[in-house]
Amino acid sequence: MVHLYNKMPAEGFFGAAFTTVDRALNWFRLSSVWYLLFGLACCGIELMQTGGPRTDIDRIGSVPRPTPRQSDLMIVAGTLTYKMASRLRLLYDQMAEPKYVIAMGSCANCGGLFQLSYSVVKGVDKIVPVDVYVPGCPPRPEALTEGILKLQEKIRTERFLVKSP
Amino acid sequence: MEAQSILERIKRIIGEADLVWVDDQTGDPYLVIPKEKLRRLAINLKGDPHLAFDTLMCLSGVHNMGEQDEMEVIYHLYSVRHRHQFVLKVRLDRPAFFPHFYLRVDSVSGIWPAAAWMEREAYDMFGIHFVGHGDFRRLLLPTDWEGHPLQKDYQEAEVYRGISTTREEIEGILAEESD
Repeated sequence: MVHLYNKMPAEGFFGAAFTTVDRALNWFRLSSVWYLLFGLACCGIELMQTGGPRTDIDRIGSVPRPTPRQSDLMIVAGTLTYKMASRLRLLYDQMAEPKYVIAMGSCANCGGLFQLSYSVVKGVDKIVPVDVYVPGCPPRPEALTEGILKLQEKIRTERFLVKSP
Repeated sequence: MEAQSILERIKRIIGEADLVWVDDQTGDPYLVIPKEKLRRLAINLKGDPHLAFDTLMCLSGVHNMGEQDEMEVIYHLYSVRHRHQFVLKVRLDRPAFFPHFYLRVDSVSGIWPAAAWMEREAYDMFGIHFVGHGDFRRLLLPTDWEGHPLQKDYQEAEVYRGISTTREEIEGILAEESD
């Protein structure tokens, strides 16, 4: 999606037309939030279950991609160590804009159980910007689905062509 | 072979001087040997047909900071041929000045190749140097890591590669809980 530096005002004929286009683009994008497989620890098992047949998030348009170049969303599922942090940043930088990050589980949120450890990053928001935090240790597939739905709400309200009201 | 008869055989190999045999009935009995004798003993433990310790099950490091600041390297040995096992320990002093100069022990990775990674891990966590290893570097932590985190007096750095290592809001909660 191209960021226009001079966004159209929301009034008038062109404003109305671009608002409609904006909404359509947002709807396309939120209906196909493809996520990068990034299972680092036990949360990765719940991430797999979320893509599985019981909590099938394919029905809300999310399918796993094994490459950052085709992904819109990075679900950081698990404990991030300092050694892995530079790899996480590299994968995030390889994703195409617009890109989103869900921090899944206590470890990704704040370090969680490994709060006093020497080797664990205390929250992935020290490395990449995070859009949705999903609590739990690990979160159930329903919780992660809720997180993706929250992210869809966020995408729905974004404005790329028209100034925000 | 029983532990006692293994001990007798070891005494015949390296002599009785400076050996400490501990059998307090709470776990495996173990033998503490001076580090100068380790290499000669290890070669004989593997080569002696009556002992034939062909497997190094585990090599661990321990840091004791009791009345004396010292480190231990523990060797758990097993013989597949004779189905007996034995525990060896080497104690290393850790003086306040230039401790890395004293934390040195001969590598046994030429005798038991399984020791290669375990010695690298012991170096990574405790800073014990194994002389004659061949490929001696950190195993788990990044190469630019400073310090050895399982040492009792290890202080975590405030920042690692620009990432702060604490989370401010949780620091407050932890401080309240410790009060």
